Amino acid sequence: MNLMILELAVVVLGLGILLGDLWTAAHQKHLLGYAAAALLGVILLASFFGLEQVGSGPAYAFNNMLVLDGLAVFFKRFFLIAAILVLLMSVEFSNRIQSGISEFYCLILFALTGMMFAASANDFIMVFVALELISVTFYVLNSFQRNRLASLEAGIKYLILSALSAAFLVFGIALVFGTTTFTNFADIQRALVANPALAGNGLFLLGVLMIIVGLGFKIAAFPFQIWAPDVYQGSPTPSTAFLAVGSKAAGIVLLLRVLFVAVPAVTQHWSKLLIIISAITILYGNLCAIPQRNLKRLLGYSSISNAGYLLLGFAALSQAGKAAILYYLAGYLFTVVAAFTVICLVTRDRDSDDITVLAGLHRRSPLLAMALTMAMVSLAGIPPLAGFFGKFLLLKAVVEQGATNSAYYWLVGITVFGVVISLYYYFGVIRAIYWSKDVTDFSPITVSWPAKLSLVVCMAAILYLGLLPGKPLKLSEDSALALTTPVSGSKQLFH
Amino acid sequence: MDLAFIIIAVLTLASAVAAMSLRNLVHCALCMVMTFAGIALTFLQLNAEFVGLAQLLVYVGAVAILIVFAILLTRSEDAKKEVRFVSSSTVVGFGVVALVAVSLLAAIQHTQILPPQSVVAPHVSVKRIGEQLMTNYVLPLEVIGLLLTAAMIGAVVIAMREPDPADSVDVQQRNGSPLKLDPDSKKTAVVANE
Amino acid sequence: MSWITKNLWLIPILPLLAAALISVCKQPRRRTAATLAIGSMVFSFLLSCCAFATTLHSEHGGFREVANFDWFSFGTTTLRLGWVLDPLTACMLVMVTFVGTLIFIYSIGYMAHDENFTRFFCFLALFAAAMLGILIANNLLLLFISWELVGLASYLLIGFWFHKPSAAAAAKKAFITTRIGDIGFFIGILWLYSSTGTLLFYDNGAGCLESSALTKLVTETTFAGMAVSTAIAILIFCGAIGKSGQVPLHVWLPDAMEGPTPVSALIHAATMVAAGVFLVARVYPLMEVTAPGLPSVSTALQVVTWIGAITAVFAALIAVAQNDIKRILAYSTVSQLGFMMMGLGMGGVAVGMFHLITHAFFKSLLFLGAGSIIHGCHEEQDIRHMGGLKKYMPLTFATYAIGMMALSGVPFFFSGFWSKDEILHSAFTWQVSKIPFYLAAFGALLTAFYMTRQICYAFFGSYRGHKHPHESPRVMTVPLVLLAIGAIVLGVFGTPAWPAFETYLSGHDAEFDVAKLLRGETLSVMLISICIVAVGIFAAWQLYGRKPVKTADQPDPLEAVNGNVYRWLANRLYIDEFYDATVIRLNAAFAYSADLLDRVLWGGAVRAASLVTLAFAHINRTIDDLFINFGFDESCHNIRRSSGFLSKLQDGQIQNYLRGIGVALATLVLFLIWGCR
Repeated sequence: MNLMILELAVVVLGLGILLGDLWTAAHQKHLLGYAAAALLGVILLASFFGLEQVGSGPAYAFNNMLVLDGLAVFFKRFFLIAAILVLLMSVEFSNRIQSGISEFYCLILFALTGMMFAASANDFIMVFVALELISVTFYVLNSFQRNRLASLEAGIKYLILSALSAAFLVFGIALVFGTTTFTNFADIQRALVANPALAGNGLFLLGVLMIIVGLGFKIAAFPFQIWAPDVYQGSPTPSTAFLAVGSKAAGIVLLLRVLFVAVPAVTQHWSKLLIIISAITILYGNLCAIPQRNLKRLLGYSSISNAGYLLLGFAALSQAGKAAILYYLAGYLFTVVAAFTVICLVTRDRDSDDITVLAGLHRRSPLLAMALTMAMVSLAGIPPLAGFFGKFLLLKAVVEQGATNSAYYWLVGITVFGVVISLYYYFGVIRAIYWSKDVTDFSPITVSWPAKLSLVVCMAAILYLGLLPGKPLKLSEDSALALTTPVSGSKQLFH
Repeated sequence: MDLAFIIIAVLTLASAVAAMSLRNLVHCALCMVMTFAGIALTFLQLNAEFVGLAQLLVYVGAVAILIVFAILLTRSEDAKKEVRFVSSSTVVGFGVVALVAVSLLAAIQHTQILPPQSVVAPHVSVKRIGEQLMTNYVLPLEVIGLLLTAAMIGAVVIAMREPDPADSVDVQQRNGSPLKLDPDSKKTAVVANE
Repeated sequence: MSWITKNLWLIPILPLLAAALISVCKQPRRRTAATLAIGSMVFSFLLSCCAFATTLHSEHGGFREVANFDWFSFGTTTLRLGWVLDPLTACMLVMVTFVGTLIFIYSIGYMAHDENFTRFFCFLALFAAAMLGILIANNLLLLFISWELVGLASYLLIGFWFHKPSAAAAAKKAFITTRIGDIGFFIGILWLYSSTGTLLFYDNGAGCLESSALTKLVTETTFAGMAVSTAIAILIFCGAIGKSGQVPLHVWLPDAMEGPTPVSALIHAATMVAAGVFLVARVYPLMEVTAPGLPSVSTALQVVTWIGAITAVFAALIAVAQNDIKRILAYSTVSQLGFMMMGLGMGGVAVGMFHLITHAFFKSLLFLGAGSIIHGCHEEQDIRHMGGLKKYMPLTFATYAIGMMALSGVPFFFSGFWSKDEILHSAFTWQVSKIPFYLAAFGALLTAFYMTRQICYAFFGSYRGHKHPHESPRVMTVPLVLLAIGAIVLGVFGTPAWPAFETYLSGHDAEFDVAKLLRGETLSVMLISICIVAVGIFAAWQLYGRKPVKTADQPDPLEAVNGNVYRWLANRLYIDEFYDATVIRLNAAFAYSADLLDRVLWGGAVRAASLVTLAFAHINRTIDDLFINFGFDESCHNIRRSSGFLSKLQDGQIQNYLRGIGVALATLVLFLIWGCR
């Protein structure tokens, strides 16, 4: 029970928000978001005091379904930070949600719970229920602006495609269970060691593949990225941000656990698959982003390309690659949240997400302009910001593997190409801010102090991760230690 | 392969095809009920009593009724115009279906079948399932409880009538604040799960 | 380690923080911006004073404390950064923060009416932060980063009025010219890193300026038998050439006067250019090291000396024939920087740095004085349109005269005399060659000459302008008086009788000994120097002072003596034209070919990529039109009529998506079967 105290706290908080709604005047309901964010902050702080036992090694609970190790703690804190920032953003968004803002907060908290369970999942059953909790809440979060067709459309699309991917996932789990009679990661790994022929079994591999398909959908990796742009564009901005950060990170942590804890023997032989998927995802995301004029759609494609960068770390199949994934995700969190917060604030009075709304932003609000510029520069991977160092670490991990397979060098080449073409559209955004010809609106944008705070925190984190990578790098290396695979004799016996 | 299985299988598939292709939505729904029933029969025939009965209760009982209600409530009159059965989209659809099927079959074909393990068919009873759910699988169960709560909140929020007066004229205004879920019921739902 | 060393990083961080905060200030919030910038500078100044005080009382052998830390590590390599506190850093810190604070305060008045007031203070604070970063860096990389930041800030400041084409061009010129030097600098850094494995200056014996690394560097040789240390030192010196405006990269400095007068001019003339001199002083151990058995002056220092000597004379010559008051001072700065380099090359750190410090004071004084004159004459910068200002602006005249005398090296009471005297003295005793001494003497003569000329033009004779001149307000004259006092008093610390500055840098105690003044060599050099100054002033007075020019368009008296020489000088020896014809044309050719490459190669690639993308889009649309929408439109037609809402959700895409996922899955499975065998 001690291991899921954080999740319990978040659930209680979610229900508390619903209850609190009853005693809050209608015009004050949006302030509940601040309360929720503040209490999440308390939970986040508490996680630094309550989880000391992690240092002594992983702890298991519920018939080994839950695990609490460095990786789980890293991601739980990650999700908590993301949720706090998204809640602050949601408060700014509340005037665009006609009713039920406290339900919006509550659902964000429930999705957060799902993500935190995903961080600890050590069993395919948990993987499934955690992912479904995330998906179901996002169906609603994405279609929350019922008066906007785009939002409803996003919700329905997400529903259908997510259901399909869940079907794949469940099919895959069934096949894995059928061939191994286990659903627990550790058990499956042991079964693979005990029976190496299993790693060559077609049905088992098919099962693993389908699980990867289901998770690939969540992180928007090619060829399951197809939903991302539409859904990102249509959803309410805070939902989009949470989808881009939280949901993606949940997919990443599960993918890490499945590939490196449950079926390491299979993963060893799938580097080619991972390389190809990673390369195509990067190219696809970056190429498609170029003609976009809609900010959120552009960030949707950018999120696809970022999924590709993250897959680089998987493809490297090394400890350095895993640590780099965590590092990159941390930078990605602050960058993307900063970008979406700015978009949320700028489009407050307008219905359009078109890139032209940014015109003259540096005169309307220097802080917003600076934050968005910094986010774009970081996403484009320019030193000395977080995005640069994350990409550097990922590429370094890939290059280190170059000796084993020359395809890695091609992967590096493609990545660099992708990064270069991404400069075009990221700088398009910056250009829209500072060098727009026809600026019509000079009205200053008022930014509430919590939003300011969250932007400043994001900017500070982007700078910190780019300039002083020592400590966070150590942290992500330590967290990735949870994924070290025990030396198993199965490798040479494959096939 | 005995005769009973063939009959059930043919019936199930045929009604599934009919559910997709008939023009009258009510007919479609009824055909789908038949498909569900056929699947339930298949389960029963495989000695999976619990799953079979659950399939009957949940799908034939609850889901089908829900769908029929939904159709009856939202049906509009002129949805019956005949279209060409073989349109390009059907062709593409079938192509994709065939491709997926072939690839899955090929994958299975390439598998060396594992030596069949001596599986003793476990005695499955509702009681044992219940025990399992409350011991080994209590955590997923709880999370599913949370999931259902979230889904319920979501359903209410989405289906809630807009307080926007400009929305429509014939809709009579509800005077109140939006959603009011009974907080106690939610709490009990979660408490029951824990 | 003392607390000040631990917290030395605060000194540059405070202005940096101020710059960051100001950058998010809205334009109308002038007071906030100015308060932030000045407040941070004052704090930095106080901290610098503490640092200075700490370095004063030290035990024998010189005070030096370093604080190094790991920046980050990848693999087995760890990149370490750090800062250092020694007398060199401390005295520069005090100088930069003091002058910087004065500039900041002065700017409030000067920029009061500019609409981009906040932006200006943001740049100023950024500049100060970068400059202070250079001073405290204990790592060549950190120094280089700050160095480039200084370049960026000066680019922004010179081009602050970017709507003026000349300012924009000057900013670009400054940026590119210094960048040329920085290329050499950067190569030097890389070379140093690859041969010593560290970029830390001092690291408990393992730094690159400490004996073990130096011994290693000096014993290795590269092409033509040159020691690696020499090559690296010269490459690093390239950076100093660019930043400190030495020949041949001096061309940007006079143009930099396009910045807001006189604030950025002052920054560039008194503070920033000192960075190059400081760099040479900082890496002095590397510069001076020679292989054992060759007890001569190192090659690198000879290069420094010669470049400095040539610059000193060269710029002084040009200054003689300029008419813009700020340009004269700018060329004078270039010339004085040459003197500093000479001092470093021949006399050691103390000689060069002493001149740097004194020069900072009297040159600030002169620039502020020039600003006051320009202000009083209603934005007139041409000395031919001034004259007789003595009686209109008495205070400005008095302080300006003090500055002029300090710069010219008038004996005994002015700091410039003593610092220049030390340089001349070390040149006199230099073993390698006597020519630098003659050059320096000639440069000093010219200095006295052009300063007298300027004073005569501006303050004597009759007023030749149109608008009535007036004395400047108190806020501008008070800093002048303060600086004038500094320009006089500072000399005390560097007389041969009491060489406090030199001993402070080397960590000894100074002894007061008047007898040293009268030692033969010292005395003779001093006499020579006095003669030189006297001749320079006298000659200029003969030409300009006795018969002051009457009208603005009257030809320069020097021109009357020898027109050709004057024209050469007036046109700055045609250096800019020479560059236009050679370097810039070459560069243009490069740019043109790069542009061509860009269009053909890159443009082609981009166009190909876009074509492929377009082709995909087209195929997709065709498929959509032919296969999906055709059938779908038909079936949807009726539904659309009954429920437009639903049909909009089902506009055909999602089916597409589902099919896409199906195909993708099949592909992956097939790939798995045949691809991963």
